Amino acid sequence: MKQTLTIAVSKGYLLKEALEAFNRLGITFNDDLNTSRKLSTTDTQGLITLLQVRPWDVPVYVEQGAADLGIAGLDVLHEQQPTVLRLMDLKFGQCKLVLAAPSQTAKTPLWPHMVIATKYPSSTQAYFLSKGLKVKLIKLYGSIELAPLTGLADMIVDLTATGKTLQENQLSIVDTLLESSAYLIANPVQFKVKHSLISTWVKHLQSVLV
Amino acid sequence: MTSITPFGVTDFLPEDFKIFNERITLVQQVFEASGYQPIKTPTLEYFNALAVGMGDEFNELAIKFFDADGEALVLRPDHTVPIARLVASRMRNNTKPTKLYYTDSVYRNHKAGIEKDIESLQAGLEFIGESTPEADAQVISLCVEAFLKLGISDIAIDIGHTDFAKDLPQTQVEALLKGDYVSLGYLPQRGKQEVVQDHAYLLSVFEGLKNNGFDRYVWFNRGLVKSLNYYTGLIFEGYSEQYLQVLASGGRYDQLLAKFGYACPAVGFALDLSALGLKKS
Repeated sequence: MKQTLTIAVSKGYLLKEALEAFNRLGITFNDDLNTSRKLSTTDTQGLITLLQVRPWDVPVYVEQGAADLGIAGLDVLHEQQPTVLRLMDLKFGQCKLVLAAPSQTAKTPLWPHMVIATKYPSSTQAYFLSKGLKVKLIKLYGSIELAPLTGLADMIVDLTATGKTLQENQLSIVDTLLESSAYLIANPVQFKVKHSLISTWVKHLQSVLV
Repeated sequence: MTSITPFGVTDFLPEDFKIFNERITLVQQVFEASGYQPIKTPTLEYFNALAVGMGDEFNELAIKFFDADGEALVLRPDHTVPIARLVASRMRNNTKPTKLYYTDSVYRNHKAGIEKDIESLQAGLEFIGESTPEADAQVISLCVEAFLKLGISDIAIDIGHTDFAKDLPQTQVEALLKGDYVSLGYLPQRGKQEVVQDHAYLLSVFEGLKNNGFDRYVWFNRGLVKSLNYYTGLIFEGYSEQYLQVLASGGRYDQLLAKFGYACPAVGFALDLSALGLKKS
């Protein structure tokens, strides 16, 4: 029996880029996940199953072994520190995790007890610990840029690709915490069980992505 | 709700306990057939007495508190360190090799939100007093036998060695420990004896495993490195496809007993019986 692979991919722009990379490997899927509402699809050869999940859930699927492989942003891996193997930097989906502030405060030095709103509490905590600064964290799930405008927080830590959303909300980048891109990750045991299949596959992927 | 237990520990009803007892009996039969004797160390120990052998990882995972005199206590986070303490003190004059086994719980704190047990039941053994490839092959064989006796046959044993990390810069060692092959720069080699042609010791372990045909379960993995500070040579991990997790881990720790004042080589492994859950294999 031929071994199969299950791959969890973040919904959204990572999915689009991942599908393009798969196409370059000659892998095409039965459903177009970009347009269809199905959450999973199998390739025409019946060897690869693609799962479409929330970006924050990709490491969970892989860590628990529900997916053998996953494509997740480094920002998410950095925040969650899941027990998975990081196999490859896919180089697409590039963005930065930044500390940003209203333009007038962006130039002042960081101060103790400032309030930071973020979707990334662990990464933010690690950053301020390394600066030796005690701050107050507020965990938000979206529209982080609103926080300084409404007085909820002094600054934010959030992901930015082009900087456009920050700009439109009168925020400037103070510092960069992390340069992120899409990573191929693997369940540690599945990586052993399907070792030759996965390592061959990684080699192919490397050859089409360089 | 009343009468609940904390997350990470559990009650065993008679039907659950029966399953676990059957497993313990099966593993005991394997160990005793090879001349291993049962041993039991206390659940609670002085933290300072074990700290010398535990290293950073266990110091972090261990559950610690104070007794009435203000002495720091620790719930046994593994069996190897307490057994090393015991053998180095009260059993140092025993005939070598000293072959001991245990079936008891260990207690470890885990990061919040991680679905790992605080208390888990381990069955394992320590082979004390010999540092040879034959001893390592025997211990790996017993690990395989224990799995087979439990009815788990979809297993593989990955073998690593502390030498694999010896010549690497610290950043790459950390990358290996984290499983971060992007920072490492390559996927570590994994295969049969062809990937350890430069390592005479591991080749003789492999030869030893050929004698009972267990070489077919074994893979050498140049990425298998452990953060437990006591390993000094061969390291191994056993896992099963149906459970999708590492169920056994062990290795050689030739310097551990010396930390308790008695230089004596040893090798051993522990099998995580709790990880088998309550489904029958």
